[in-house]
Amino acid sequence: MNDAVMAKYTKDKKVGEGTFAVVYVGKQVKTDRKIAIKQIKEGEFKDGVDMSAIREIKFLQEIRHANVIELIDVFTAGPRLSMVLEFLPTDLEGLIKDTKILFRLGDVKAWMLMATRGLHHCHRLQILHRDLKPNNLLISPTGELKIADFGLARQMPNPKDKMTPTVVTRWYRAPELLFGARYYTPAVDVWSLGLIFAELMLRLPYCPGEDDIDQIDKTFRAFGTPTEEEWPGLTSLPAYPKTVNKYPHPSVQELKMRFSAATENGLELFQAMTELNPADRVSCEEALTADYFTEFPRPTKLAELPGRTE
Amino acid sequence: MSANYWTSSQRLHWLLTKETLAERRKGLEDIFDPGKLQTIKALNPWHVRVYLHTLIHLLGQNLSIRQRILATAEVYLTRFHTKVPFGEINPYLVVATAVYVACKVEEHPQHIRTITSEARSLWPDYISHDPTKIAECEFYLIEELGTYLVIFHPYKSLMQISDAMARSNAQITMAPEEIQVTWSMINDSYITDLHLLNPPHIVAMACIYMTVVLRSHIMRMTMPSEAVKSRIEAFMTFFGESNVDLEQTIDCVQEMISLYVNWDTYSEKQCRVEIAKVIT
Repeated sequence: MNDAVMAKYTKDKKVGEGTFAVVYVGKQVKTDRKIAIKQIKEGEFKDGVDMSAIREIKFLQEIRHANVIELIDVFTAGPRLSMVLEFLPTDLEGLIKDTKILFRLGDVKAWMLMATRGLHHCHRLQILHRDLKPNNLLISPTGELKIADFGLARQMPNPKDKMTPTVVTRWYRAPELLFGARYYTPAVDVWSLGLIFAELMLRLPYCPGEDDIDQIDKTFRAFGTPTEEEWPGLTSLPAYPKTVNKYPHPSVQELKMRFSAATENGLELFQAMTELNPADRVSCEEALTADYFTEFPRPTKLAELPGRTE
Repeated sequence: MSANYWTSSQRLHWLLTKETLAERRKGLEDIFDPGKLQTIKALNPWHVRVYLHTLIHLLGQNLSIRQRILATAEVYLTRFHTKVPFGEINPYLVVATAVYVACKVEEHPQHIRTITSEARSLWPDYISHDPTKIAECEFYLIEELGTYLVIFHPYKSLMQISDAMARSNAQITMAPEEIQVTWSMINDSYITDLHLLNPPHIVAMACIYMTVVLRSHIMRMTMPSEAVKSRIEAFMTFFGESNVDLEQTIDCVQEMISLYVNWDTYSEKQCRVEIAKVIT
């Protein structure tokens, strides 16, 4: 059976290697459609299939959405699992770093809209992504943005179940995670999306902490130091530091200076996505109805977006 | 039930009809030679299922694994046996592997060595020291499941339906003891094929029906029989208005009754001996 599945695809060229997988590009023989094959590495001590691989397969088999990477097939060859994924040659990080490309307001809006739609779908299915960053937002040949890498994702737990706070790449990590919260919500993903929004506007990471302590300081510097009053329970979170530097919350004026090209509605959405208290942070569903998405300029059409290759 | 059951792989890829299931099972018989097939067919299939259920729960208890995770493991096992017939592969190894994979999928991973050594201490004749056996079986299991790993269970539906019952008519508020009984019936339902044939809310409704209607003596301790009778009528009204498929639910009830009837004649010791003959 598996040979039959495998024969449906060609594996042409190795294009990348991560901690738990090697990625190849190839083709679906019947349709000539370009695909990517993610071959899961065998654990060093044959410890069974890696958790990241289990999570990725488990969730991608349940999610079908235009803004989430499509898992086309899975096959085993020898003692290896291979995932056949849609071919997504570009990612947002690459575009941000490519100084030859100019981002228009509508481009940023189109990417934010697609990312929020994809994330909204995950949250609707009770799935937390827990590793959103520009590098995991891939761009299809036609310009569509797709959320990828579900290796850290998990189902929203029962209210009493603890989760690990050591998730999300540091620069995109929400404050509740920085303080070691064991109970958290989809708001952690919304924070990451907010930071990605800032990075799209600035073309630079907004909170590039050098270590976990510096990350807290940079976060406060950028968003202000929260108080127990603004965020009840804050100071009793497990890893809340004994001493913190006090920074004021940036004024609207200050934000306008930092993001000179942004509109007021754009800044309003950015602020709503990066509320320090997760209980006050906007949900994806609410974010989708933000005025930012309907005001002029309109989100750029796919055919006119930078980064598409077709 | 979560809103996402309707778009789930469970509904789209693993919801079978009785006919398909029967055909698949028939098709699996070809791989055995006539002699072996005869030994397998001599087993009471209900007893085999009860036996596998007790294996999963024994391993689960020794590792303090939650019921929900064991339920996932049981669905894996049932699905697996629609592709690979019982008797084809060491059942103790498949049980240990199903528990191992379910723990990972339900976000309570256990080390493969822990599972191996615990399973070996329970079944030394069938489980080797070597954890790579479970690692190999894991690939096989995941492959036969079609790599669909998320499982929806009736436990949540039970809570939702019982809430709806209390809201619709205070008279049919389920007593804690009734919830408990229904919960254990759901645990037992994993011995059957119900989870291959029905969405979780139907299984939950069937178990609630059995508790409230067929085991109404639970309430008779505290209620006059007239009141119990009118309570059953109120429940039937709720059921009728709930839009839950009546015929399908009653089908489930019958399946559960068959399970309990066959369970009465089950002997673990005898079953172990008979199974040993098949797998050696």
